[in-house]
Amino acid sequence: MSAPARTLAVELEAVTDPVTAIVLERASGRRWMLAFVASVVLTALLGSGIWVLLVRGVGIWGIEIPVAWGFAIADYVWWIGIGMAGTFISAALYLTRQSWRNSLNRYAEAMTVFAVSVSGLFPILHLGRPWFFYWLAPYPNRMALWPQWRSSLLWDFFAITAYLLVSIVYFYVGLLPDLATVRDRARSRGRQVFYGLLALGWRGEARHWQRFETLSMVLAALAVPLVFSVHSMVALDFSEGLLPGWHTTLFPPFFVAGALFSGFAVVLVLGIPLRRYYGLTDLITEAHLDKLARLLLAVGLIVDYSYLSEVFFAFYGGDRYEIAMTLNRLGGAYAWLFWSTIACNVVSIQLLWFPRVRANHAALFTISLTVVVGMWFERFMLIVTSLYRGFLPSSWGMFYPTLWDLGFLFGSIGLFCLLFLAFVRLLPAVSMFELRKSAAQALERPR
Amino acid sequence: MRFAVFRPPSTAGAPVAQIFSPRFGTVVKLTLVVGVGLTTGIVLAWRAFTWNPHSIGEPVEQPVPFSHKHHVGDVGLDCRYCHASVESDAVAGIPPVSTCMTCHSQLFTDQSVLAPILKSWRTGRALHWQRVYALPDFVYFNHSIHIAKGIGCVSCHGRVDHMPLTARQAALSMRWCLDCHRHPERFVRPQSEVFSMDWRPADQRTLGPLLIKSYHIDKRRLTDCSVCHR
Amino acid sequence: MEFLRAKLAGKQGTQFWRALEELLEQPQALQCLREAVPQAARLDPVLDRRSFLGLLGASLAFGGLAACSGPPPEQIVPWIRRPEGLSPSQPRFYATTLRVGDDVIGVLAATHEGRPTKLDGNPAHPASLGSTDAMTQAAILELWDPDRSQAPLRHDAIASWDEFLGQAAATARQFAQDGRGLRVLSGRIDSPTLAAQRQEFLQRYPGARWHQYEPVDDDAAQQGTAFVFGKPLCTRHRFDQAQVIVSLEADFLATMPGHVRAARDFAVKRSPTGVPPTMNRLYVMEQTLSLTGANADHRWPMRAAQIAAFVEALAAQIGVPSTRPPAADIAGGLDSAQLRRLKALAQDLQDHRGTSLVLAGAAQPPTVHALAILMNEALTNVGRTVEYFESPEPRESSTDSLRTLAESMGSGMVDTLWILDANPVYTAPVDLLFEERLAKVRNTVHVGLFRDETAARCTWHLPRAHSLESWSDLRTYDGSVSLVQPVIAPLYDVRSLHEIVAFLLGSSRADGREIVRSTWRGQGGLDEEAAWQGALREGVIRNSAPAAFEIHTEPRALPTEQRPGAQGSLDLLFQPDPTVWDGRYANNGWLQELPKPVTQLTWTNAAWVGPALAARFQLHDGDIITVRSQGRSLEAPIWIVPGQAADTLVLPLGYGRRAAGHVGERLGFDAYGLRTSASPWQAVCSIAATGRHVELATTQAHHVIQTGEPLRAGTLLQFRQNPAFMQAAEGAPASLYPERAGGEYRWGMSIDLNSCIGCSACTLACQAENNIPVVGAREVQRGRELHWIRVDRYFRGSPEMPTVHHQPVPCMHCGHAPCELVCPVGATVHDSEGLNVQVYNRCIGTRFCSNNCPYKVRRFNFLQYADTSSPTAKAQRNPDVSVRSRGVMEKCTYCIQRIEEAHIVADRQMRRIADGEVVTACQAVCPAKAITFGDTADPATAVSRQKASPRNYRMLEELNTRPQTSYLGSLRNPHPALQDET
Repeated sequence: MSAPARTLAVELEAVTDPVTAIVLERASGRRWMLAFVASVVLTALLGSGIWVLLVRGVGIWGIEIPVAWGFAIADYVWWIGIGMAGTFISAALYLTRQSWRNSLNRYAEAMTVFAVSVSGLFPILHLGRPWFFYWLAPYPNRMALWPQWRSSLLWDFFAITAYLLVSIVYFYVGLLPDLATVRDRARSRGRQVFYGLLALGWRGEARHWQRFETLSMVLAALAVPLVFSVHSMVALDFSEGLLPGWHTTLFPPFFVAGALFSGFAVVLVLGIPLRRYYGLTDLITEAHLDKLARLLLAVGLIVDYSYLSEVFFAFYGGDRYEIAMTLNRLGGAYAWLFWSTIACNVVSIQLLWFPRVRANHAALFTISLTVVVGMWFERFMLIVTSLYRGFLPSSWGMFYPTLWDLGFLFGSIGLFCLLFLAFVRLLPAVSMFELRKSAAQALERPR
Repeated sequence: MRFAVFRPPSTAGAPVAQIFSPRFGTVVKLTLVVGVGLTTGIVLAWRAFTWNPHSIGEPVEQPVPFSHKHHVGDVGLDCRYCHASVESDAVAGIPPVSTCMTCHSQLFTDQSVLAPILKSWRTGRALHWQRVYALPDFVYFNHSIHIAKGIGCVSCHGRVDHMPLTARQAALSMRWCLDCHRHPERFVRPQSEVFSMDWRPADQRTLGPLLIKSYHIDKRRLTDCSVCHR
Repeated sequence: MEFLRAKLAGKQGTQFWRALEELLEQPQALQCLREAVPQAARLDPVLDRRSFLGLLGASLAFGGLAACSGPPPEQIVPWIRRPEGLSPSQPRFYATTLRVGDDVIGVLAATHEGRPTKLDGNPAHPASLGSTDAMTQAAILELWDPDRSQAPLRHDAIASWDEFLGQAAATARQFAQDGRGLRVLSGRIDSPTLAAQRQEFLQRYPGARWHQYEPVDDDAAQQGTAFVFGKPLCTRHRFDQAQVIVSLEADFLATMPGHVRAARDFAVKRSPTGVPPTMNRLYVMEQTLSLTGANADHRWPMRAAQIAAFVEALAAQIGVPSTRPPAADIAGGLDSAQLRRLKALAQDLQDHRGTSLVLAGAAQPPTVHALAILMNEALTNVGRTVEYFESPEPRESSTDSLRTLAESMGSGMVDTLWILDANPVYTAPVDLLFEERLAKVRNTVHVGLFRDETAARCTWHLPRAHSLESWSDLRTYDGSVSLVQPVIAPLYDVRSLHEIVAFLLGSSRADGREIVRSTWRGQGGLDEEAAWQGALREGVIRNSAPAAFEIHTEPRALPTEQRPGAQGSLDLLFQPDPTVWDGRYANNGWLQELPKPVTQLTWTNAAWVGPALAARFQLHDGDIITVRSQGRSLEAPIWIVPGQAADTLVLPLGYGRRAAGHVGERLGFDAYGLRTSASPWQAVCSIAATGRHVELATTQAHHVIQTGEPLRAGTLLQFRQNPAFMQAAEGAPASLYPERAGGEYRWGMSIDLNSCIGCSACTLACQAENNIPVVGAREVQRGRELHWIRVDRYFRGSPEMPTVHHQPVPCMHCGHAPCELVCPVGATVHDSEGLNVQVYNRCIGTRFCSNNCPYKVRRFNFLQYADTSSPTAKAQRNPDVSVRSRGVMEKCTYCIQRIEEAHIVADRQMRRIADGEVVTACQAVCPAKAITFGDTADPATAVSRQKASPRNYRMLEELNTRPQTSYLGSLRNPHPALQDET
């Protein structure tokens, strides 16, 4: 556009209008409605599943001896991994002053919060007696008992809780200035009250901004290490076991990589339709998508390396159980699982080397979706292939999922979508104040 | 210049007036804090109160207002006269009606409070006493071993010789059990004093360890889960 | 078959495999498909018949939530007068006797406050010596079975005993003069009292007849002895005297009467003792794999005809006076391999004159039995390893007896028929048309525990008291008699068998005790009350076994067997089911869920086929086939049994019950549908695949062992050369952690795989002792069975002639327990005496412990399995063991309740627990005494001595779990000349 037109006001409007419009002016629209109904249905499925589970027991799933962990744990690891990318984008890139992240971090953080909340359901539900989950917490009780500190499950419990709390707080704090903006633009009384309450009386005073900056910095600094701790703990849930395929010190970094991988994929899966449907193409630009695609490829390669080294070390280590397990993984009853994982997570992402593919949104979307699916396969493969053939052939067995297993998987997806759809309609999906700030700084820069 | 960024960008029409006064934010936060505090407090209180069917020190309604105070305190019966299997068995045993009748076929037969006993004796229909000391089914408590190792009745059941109506004296929580299982030397008595109501140790600090030794109490396994749970 | 051999060539001799699927396995890709596709096919929610338990689950879930508000108030109901010496919590034991299958076993019944909760063997009883088998263990569940019939039924309407007494009196009057038209049908009579009552009955009604029918009969043995001795005799074997045993399809370790005792005596000779160490040697010739065969040193699968031919040749070899001229061509029918075996075996027998033993199985024709007797005589074994005696009770040929009854029923000669504790409508050979003919009988009375198929078709059904509720006496395999006394008052309005027969004899007020007592007045030296009481207390009447029969045989030419066996047809062999027997235990959940020793199947039977046959017909486990025999046919799923003779089909009896109770109906197929009275055991048949398939509930994993050797085995020869040849070269790996400070004791277990015969009695004893619930076929299919001790079974060698090994696997109680490390709430922890304890009430069910258990001995309550509703189920439970709710992990605890009990008793008396004071349930029941338990801290204890043996090894010790349960490797003792065969 022409130079005189590039006044600050215009720039600011260009940011603020479309974003607030999504929340304040726009009607829901048919596609949103359809998606919403679909996710409500799936969420209801999850709800009924939880009810049946509490009434009948975890036996409604396909788990058995020897495969005592099944979909629930796979879903849990999958979701918590997805959650990670959001924090990484918003916190890590924030600390490293990657200002391009400003247009992504808001919905990425939302994704984190929702994904982690959803994943948090599974560790509790998969317990034989879910109503006693609080025994994991070290609190003074009439049994005079403490939890068992050597168990990684315990530390996992702490890690998840801490991570969930921090990411919720970080998300909400980040929202405050924009909530204020929305509040000020809201016409109807109801919205004014709603956003007014949420904005916690934000008035954009310098004092507010100063505290805000400090707090964001502190929270970001807290969030980044938490991200890594969470995924290391999740990894230790497995590597603490002595099963071939689990008992390896390489797991923590691999899990972090895997988490980032699935996370970026989901950011893309959510971002592409979001910008298209709500016309945010000027805020979430091609450049953003390209950067994300590159990131996806990068971490993808790390994940692929982890697959390679797992197989390598199995043979290099020379432990006969490890070797047997690996051969079994490559050629046993669940080989199809392994190879589809490879197809999704190794083969598909190689396309991202080509700029034309990265520029093609449809392709990008599909590849990201494939990766998301592939990551679930990987989690499930990891669990089942190590369990179904243990040390004693006399107790080998197969895992047959039930409808409820699938119900919980898709139900959780439904719940996630429900939350995200609500978020898009109720909260500003893009961080306006940060974009405005960078816009302003861009103008200040002497040309 | 930076200021501009903070000004709410003026859209069509005048800026909307604030509907909340600055102070209101504080009110909201306070309400949240208080609300959370209250709910947790209520839950904890409810839990504490409803844990046991009846609380400590509260006499339990029984078909016959049996008074340990009278039988133990005044008459001076030995515990084992009624709770015969306490030395040999897991349970101390509620006496059969025949035990009551050894005296009450002659004594106070006209007393109305004794009517249920006599009726039960005549009709052969059993009395239904309310349990005062109830343990969960997964706890396997054995009286005989505690007696054998010098734990006095009083230690758990309190001064029944002062109880007109029997009431629970101990929390019966696992913590309470462990208090003793972790430090038995604080509670063990000489074999002769196990059934005595008013025995006071001269110096438990020196006596305790000696008794532990003489009773061959293996403190290592006293806190094993398998000792009480099977 | 060809590619099978090819596959085999690839596999080393020492490699174990668990099932044929592995060897018959398709190329990898197909295999994946076969195992992977069912996942799609089997997507279904667990909406099984247990759905009602969901509600219980709910109440529990909310019980769990409401746990915050504590338990409901309890009440205490004291005695009016406390019975003498009745302790509130200590069990009391009563000696009594049970008839299980066709065996009679003396037991001690443990009662808690009057409730029988557990049965242990009676050490004084010759058939038990303190041990029992699985079926005996399950008898306690039968007592508490809610499906037992509880009142007399007339035309299926509840009636009173008085009404029936009227009926009985009428019958008595009607047949007062001669009794023609009055018949009684009972099982085999092995009760002196019942025999006496029969005598009285026949005197009273001269024209009447008393038939005996036992579906699992011993007719062939009777005829065999009759041929040799001129009269039918019973046989008692002395396996503790036999150095060389030749079993002609005689399953003396599992199904023959006296098998519990046999297992003990066999094991005694089995342990490699002395210098140089010696063992007995067992040769088995059989059509299919039996437990006895599984324990054999030489097991030769043969078709029926081959066995007969081989036996004749063998008899000739060891100089039995020629029974069929010309003797020359007898060995003609044998191929070179068989001749080689023949010579070796004959030589071995000759070398052990007087210490060898030849015995034949129930399915073998009388001639084989006769030859076995003659061989024992020729080898001078009679009086040493085998004795014959005359049964004081009248014996009849089951099939003949039933045939005559059926025929006279058909011709309308039977007016009144009393069926005593038998179920002929279900068990009678199909050609006798018993069901139709029963309809022709005007007045029918059925006496039994359950309202079964026969009861449903009789005018009257009378509930009989359970053996644990009634007085009687029973004669066991060796002829000695033991008394049956009630250990609990009848739960329902029932009468004992003797009392009911007494009604028939005209007495209206019969007292079971008096009836039995009167039998023994004037005999057995039980006249004075003291002696009687003594016999009751001891559980067996001293010197009541008949003396051995004086031998006088005159060789006669054997009748030539008319052998079925048209060319191209298959041999068809019937056999009793190892758990539900002839069907009488169909309603017993414990037995239904017990993995059947040879097949590892639960909740069903299947047609057994050999690997070759399966390959020929392209059949896999569970494929349904049609079996045709003598114009009749039935459909059955197949199960491939390694080591079964080629062209032989085996049909286990006892399934396909139409009226058994809630548990036992509509399971499996009814093999009686092909059984004829002409040849009840052996027939010919043809099969055809239907193309349909059914998933059978099995606890067996279909894979070879690729890694490690959980089970170590070798030969006596190797053992002599190097006793420690089974022990790992590098001992237990070192540990980074310091040894845990031990307490006063260190409990441990040693399991001798050389003695273990794989009978699974331990599994059931454990189930009874530890309140382990039944989960049902569906859950077993899903791999959710709850047995705390399982018996793994491994094959070695070729599928046609495999060597079989069994390995009981309880919790290993690891010193470095992987399970303890991963439990977040410390629900599984080590106690100071080396036990790895599981604290049910602390467990929240993460199941990580099970994932991390290399031995997979942990069991999980995926649903609410324990029946918390029905009162009888509660009454059976062991009050010293918690009942686990759903969502809780459970496992073997070394019977912690017994350890604690011993601890309390010993600590009260300020003494140490003596060796042998703590006996685990599995150890107590084991017929072969393969399990030893005790304090391993004290080197003097039996278990420490066992662990000191050179055969001692720890499973998966390379994982450094330091298990407290260890094994003694298994040895076989092949004939030196036939070494190459194994």
